[in-house]
Amino acid sequence: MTPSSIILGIGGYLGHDANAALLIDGRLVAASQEERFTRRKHDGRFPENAVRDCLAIGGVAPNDVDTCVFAEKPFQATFFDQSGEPGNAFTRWLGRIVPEGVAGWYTKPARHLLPRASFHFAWHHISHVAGAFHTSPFERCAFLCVDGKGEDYSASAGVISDDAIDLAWEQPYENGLGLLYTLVTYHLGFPSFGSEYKVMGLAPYGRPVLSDRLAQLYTTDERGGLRLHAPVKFRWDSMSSAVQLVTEATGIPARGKGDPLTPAHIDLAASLQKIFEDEVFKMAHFVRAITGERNLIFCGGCAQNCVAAGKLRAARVFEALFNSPVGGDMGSGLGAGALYARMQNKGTPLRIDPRGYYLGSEPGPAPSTAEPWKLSYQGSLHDFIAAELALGKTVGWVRGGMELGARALGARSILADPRQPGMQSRLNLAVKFRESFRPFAPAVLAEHAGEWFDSTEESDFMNYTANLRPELRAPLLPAFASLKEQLDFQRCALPSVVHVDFSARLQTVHADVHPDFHRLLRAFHVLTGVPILINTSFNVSGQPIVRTATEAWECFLNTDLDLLVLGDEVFRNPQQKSREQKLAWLTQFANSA
Amino acid sequence: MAHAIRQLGMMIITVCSRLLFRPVAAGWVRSKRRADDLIGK
Repeated sequence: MTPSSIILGIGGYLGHDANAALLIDGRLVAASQEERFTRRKHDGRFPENAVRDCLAIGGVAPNDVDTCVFAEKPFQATFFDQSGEPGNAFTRWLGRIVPEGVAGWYTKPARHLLPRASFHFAWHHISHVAGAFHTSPFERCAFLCVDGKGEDYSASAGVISDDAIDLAWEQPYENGLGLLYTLVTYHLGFPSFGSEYKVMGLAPYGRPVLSDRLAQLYTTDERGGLRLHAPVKFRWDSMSSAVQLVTEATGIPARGKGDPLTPAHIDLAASLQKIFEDEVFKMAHFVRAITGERNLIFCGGCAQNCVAAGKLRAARVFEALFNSPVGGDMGSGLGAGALYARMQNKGTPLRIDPRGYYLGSEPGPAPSTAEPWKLSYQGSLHDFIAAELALGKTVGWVRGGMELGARALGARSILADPRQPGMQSRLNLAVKFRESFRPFAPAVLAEHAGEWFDSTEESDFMNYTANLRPELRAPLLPAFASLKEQLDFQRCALPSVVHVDFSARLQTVHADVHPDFHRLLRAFHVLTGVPILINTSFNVSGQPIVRTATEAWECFLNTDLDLLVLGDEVFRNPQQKSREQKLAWLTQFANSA
Repeated sequence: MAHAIRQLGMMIITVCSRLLFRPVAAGWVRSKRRADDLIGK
């Protein structure tokens, strides 16, 4: 049967994480990120490879696409970038009447690829909201979208249902909460784009004693209306010069990339995270008051802060909260496509099944060079790998369609046994080549999550944190002399997946959402009595997650991983490369690390 | 050339915009965005 509607959503193309999503007759068929093809992390160029991948998965030709929706309004964004002022009715009127050719610099590559498609441009935040809402369990809810920058604003709030979107309030300008987080992230010596999650991971090691000093940088109010005094912009030059403002306010010198982390820097990370959480809570209370809604969608790049999302959900500011797993820009194409599909449907409920977010292409066959290193095994793959994991082996796990979003969810993952002493350092330093303090996420059988953590609510996509149950915690020492001492302290039976404050970024694994990964976890549980595995993305520091079997093999050769699973085949690591050779290979990703 | 024309156009729009509208306040403000403008440029 010929489909009546083929919609392609394109997002992230004005800044970072360019992506594409394909919806056929209101059904999400594929979604993909450009960085996985170009191997440039957070690639923000036109996502031609991602588009072609989506079309191939959907079995449609470029000429078949009848609608292309972009997840931003280029005219409004350009106006803001040029003038420094948010748009208004005048610019929106102009935006409606200018012909496509005026935005030609923006649409040209898409027009070249999709000659027949009509083009549309969705508000950036509304794209986030639509993507979250139509994959959420809600029929009507409030939304809070917070990110670095939409066209000319940094936060928005309102109500969405199947037949209406009421965008009621917004925070114009870009120097808001998201930019504050990014600015301090720069100051802390993590200058590569998208490093905010490192600061979030660092924060629990410190004390939030510098919040008052940081507060000199901005004004805020009881509704979370934070704005920096300085007109800082999301540009390298603007951010670099503004770092000095953080130094002046806090008295703490900026840390150079790779320099040792001092206790003051760690306290600064904790203080920033505290401010962030306080402001998000104020915003949530404000949104609850103005909308009166019981349920909330939390989305936008700032919603990737799963610590804040977890605390917000646990605090019950709203009765239920949904934090979109692809609420950042990597899912904005999906949102833009969903927005157009809902407008076509005119109020008919549109529910998008993201199929566990395994929406990308398959890895393909193993490279022929891997053949000599193939292992034979008896019984099922899942039982064999579970046994190897229980022996302390680290495993690259590449099976099925690639995940959409920043998290590996069991299709392009590195897996390990969380009971093994020193596994956190081993994975960080010899496999991922990244900072030793970085925690790992536990993938836990959903039916057993409550036995280990204080929340039984779903976190299927690592989108919330929960805490280790109190009876499983060792009493903490009153003080630690160093970060290393704090890191090495045996705080529980699974220290590599439980942070120093006993929080964990859970992936609850349900049999109906992640069936293959569930089977592996179940096998590990039967063998060890522990329903939990370390699950981290299959990449090294600064590298996009591997996509194909060939990329996985190359990454495997350059790390100290023990085993690699490609489909149903298992390979052992030849270990033919010296550490120096591996580090040399790693340098190609250094700028993104 | 196209870039220069675009810059010039934006400057003219900025001047017109400033003559017609005051800059908006910071913090939460009521959205003036129109629902029928959801997918326009």
